[in-house]
Amino acid sequence: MAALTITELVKRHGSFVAVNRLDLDIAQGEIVSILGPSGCGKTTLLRCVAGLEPIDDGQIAIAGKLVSERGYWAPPEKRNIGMVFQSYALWPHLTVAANIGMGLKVRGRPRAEIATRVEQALASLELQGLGDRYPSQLSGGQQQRVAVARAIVVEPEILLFDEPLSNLDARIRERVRGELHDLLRKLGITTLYVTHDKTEAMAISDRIVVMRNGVIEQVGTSQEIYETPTTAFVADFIGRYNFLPAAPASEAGGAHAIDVRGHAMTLVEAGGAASGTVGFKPEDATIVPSAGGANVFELTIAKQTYFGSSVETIGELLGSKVTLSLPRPITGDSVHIHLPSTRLSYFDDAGKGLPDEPRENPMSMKAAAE
Amino acid sequence: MSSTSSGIDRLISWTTFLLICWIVAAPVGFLFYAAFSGGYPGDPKAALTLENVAQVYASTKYLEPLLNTLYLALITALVVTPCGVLLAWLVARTDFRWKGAVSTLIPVPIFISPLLGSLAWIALASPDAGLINAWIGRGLLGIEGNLLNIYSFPAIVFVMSLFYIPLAYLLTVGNLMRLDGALEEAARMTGCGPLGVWFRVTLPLLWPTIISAFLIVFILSSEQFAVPALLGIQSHFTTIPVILYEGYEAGGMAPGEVAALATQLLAVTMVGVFLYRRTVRMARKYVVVTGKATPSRPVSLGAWQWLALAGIVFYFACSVVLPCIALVLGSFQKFLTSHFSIANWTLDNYRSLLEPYYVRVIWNTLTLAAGGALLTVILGFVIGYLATRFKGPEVVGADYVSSLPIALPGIAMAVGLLWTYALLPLPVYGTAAILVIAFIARFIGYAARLAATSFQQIDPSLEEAGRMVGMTRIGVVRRVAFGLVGPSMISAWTLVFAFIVVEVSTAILLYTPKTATMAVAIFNSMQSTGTVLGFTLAVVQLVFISVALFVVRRLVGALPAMAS
Repeated sequence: MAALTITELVKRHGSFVAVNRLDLDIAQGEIVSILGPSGCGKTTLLRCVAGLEPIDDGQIAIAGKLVSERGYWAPPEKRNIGMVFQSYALWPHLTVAANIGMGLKVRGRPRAEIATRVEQALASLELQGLGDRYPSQLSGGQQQRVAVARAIVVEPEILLFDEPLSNLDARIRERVRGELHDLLRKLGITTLYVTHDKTEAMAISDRIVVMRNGVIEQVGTSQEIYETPTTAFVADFIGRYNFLPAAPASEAGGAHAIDVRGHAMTLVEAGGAASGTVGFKPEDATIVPSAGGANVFELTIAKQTYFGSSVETIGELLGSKVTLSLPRPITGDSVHIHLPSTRLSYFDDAGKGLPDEPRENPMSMKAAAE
Repeated sequence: MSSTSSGIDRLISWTTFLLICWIVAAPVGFLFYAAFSGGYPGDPKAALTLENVAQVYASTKYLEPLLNTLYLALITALVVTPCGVLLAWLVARTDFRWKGAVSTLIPVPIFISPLLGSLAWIALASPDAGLINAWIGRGLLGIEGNLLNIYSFPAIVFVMSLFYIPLAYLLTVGNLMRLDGALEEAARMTGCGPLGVWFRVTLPLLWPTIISAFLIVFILSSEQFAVPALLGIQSHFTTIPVILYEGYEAGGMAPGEVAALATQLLAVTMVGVFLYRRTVRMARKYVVVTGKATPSRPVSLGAWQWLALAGIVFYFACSVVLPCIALVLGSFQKFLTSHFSIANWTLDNYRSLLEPYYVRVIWNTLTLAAGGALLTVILGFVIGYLATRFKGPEVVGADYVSSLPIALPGIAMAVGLLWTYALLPLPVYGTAAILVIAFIARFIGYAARLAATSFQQIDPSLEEAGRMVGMTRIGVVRRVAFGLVGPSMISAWTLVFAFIVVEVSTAILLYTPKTATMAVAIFNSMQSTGTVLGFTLAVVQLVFISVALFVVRRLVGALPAMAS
């Protein structure tokens, strides 16, 4: 039985549809990230699962038990869910131990049991000896771990995370991410993890759900969504793809030939009859010594930035501006590059188009592309 | 260049510090001197004595008024604080449908003032002639005798509460709004029910705020003069401020004894201040450690909407609507009555305001309030600017001293001022200047606070940018810093203007027939025979304050657009 089943979920804020007829199944023990730009509805989805928001249509079931539908709304305290808030939401008037023990206290557990389990939770998160401190006396990383301890100590059915690393310093974020990943593996609790940072989602989760404008664009493992994006949006958001306009080939070149501004290009997948877009990742292009051969084109170089392990090269290819990640700097104004047909993805215009909103966090995308 | 400008800085900040110390600390110092003086104010040869202090502190002579003062302040604070917190919670944390209207209207009772409220409620609920007693009690309900008696202890608490509830609201609403909703949601996620959240998280987090509000209401209630003076007479309920006034006015007490008793009132408020500061220090521990505060889902009131609305309508009826009706009705009558016969209607009250004495009173009020507010705001903004932009003992000191008068009982300060300027050879005693000094001292705290808050919101780099484009140091302060806080200065001026117009507890000891203000004349009219004239002055006073507030709302409403 699925740990969490979301069926045809609709959530509106006034006339704005935050989540639109969304379906999602999460298996017992699975770690799933919800990834998307701000305003895509990912946090709203999480709050609906938590029971902090009523839903407008559809159903949410936890371990087969219906918790939300239109007109019915099991309160959060009846759902047995643990949640780690973006701000951690540690109660400043209570000690670390009292923060962690609150859930057991309101469940009426005996005092001795609370003490033992709080101690265990402190130990499993390497917070030994900090039980008597107040949250304001802890570092950001420690606060984050207290928030996790508070969420897991009640042994919840599902663990929810709302961008839990976004308040951390960039330097320690990577380390905390690794620790969190190990802990979640060890705990084996079903986890729903909301983030706008794709590296975070790739590092933490078994499956990634990419959301945009209240609907799911693609569900898959990190590798699936990176290597075989099904929409241009996912391609851009995850892989920072370059896009070229594609039309059906004018002469008989087979089903795999398309036309890009008068140049023939070969694909592995079928191009289709209508016009569309062909895309490739910055690292997919390779430098070749001379013109000639299939899928070899001339790149006019505009700007090169040296990053050590790679060179970011911006230039013009077949009349479009592209960004490539090449192994070494190019001398001269132009170079011939090869786009392997196995690496080219075709997105038809009838499907989902290019991203229409500014990227939320260009820095993290750049980091991933290198 | 930089050394000379820093020299000017020091000169300005030290001058400000000494000025504010003189204005605030001198009256307190002279008050203590007076408590040990055997003579009259201004008598340099008066011998020192312990007699007055012994009378006040070592005998039971003034024990009853002291207990009355504490009791009244305690009960009022106990009534006011829960009401204010509840109102703040409605506006800050629920889906109450009319919260916009509530947050706009809530300061209105402050400008009506306890003095006018007492007048109005005398017309509404005095035995026999009170409108509510006549129409609702005897007319509607058919009760023999009186439904309400305004000359009673519960009535004193009631009238004071009406005018302090907005204060308790304003002192708590900010922290309620800032309270991170995620803290409450986290409690729900951990398994607390809605009530559990309130008792385990919300209330404990708000305790420091609530206790601070309680103590401030306690301090202001203990020094409240007009309400117990007007409503406590018939039930012989007297508090220290009333005894101070009577002792000074009637001369039944030695002047030194008045001063000694004033120090006792000061002691009461200082205990409040001490506890307040401890609470604020405790509150620092509770500083919420998050970066972002999540907007939380407002609590759904459901059918409780209507109960809340009923309560709020009742509150505004008692604090604003009924008092205004009563004051206007009274101002058109020959004497206060519940039998409205044609013969009793008159315009004579308004005609009497054209007599030279009342013309003078109105003129005094307007000039004192406008001028006093201007000086207060200028000094307050200089202190606020120095406190946010400069360091140094004199800057910290000026900021601290300016915050003290909020807790200084107005009537005790008046006694101190009388002794100060009777003794010193300055042309202040018995002139309008002593009133101006008193008003600055009383309200400088509000102006300095407002100024500090608005300067804190302005990034110093805006001023540095002014220097970079070639403005002089003074030019930057004038064009950039004060240009940006202009709207706040106008707001502060209006606030202080209104406070001065309704001020009665210091003015009542410091005025002379030449410098009397409307508030003083209103109070005196209730003591002598001219009750309805007091009502008429009250109506005129309300009109002045309304016009000032209206004009400034338009002005400031338009100005922030210029700044942004």
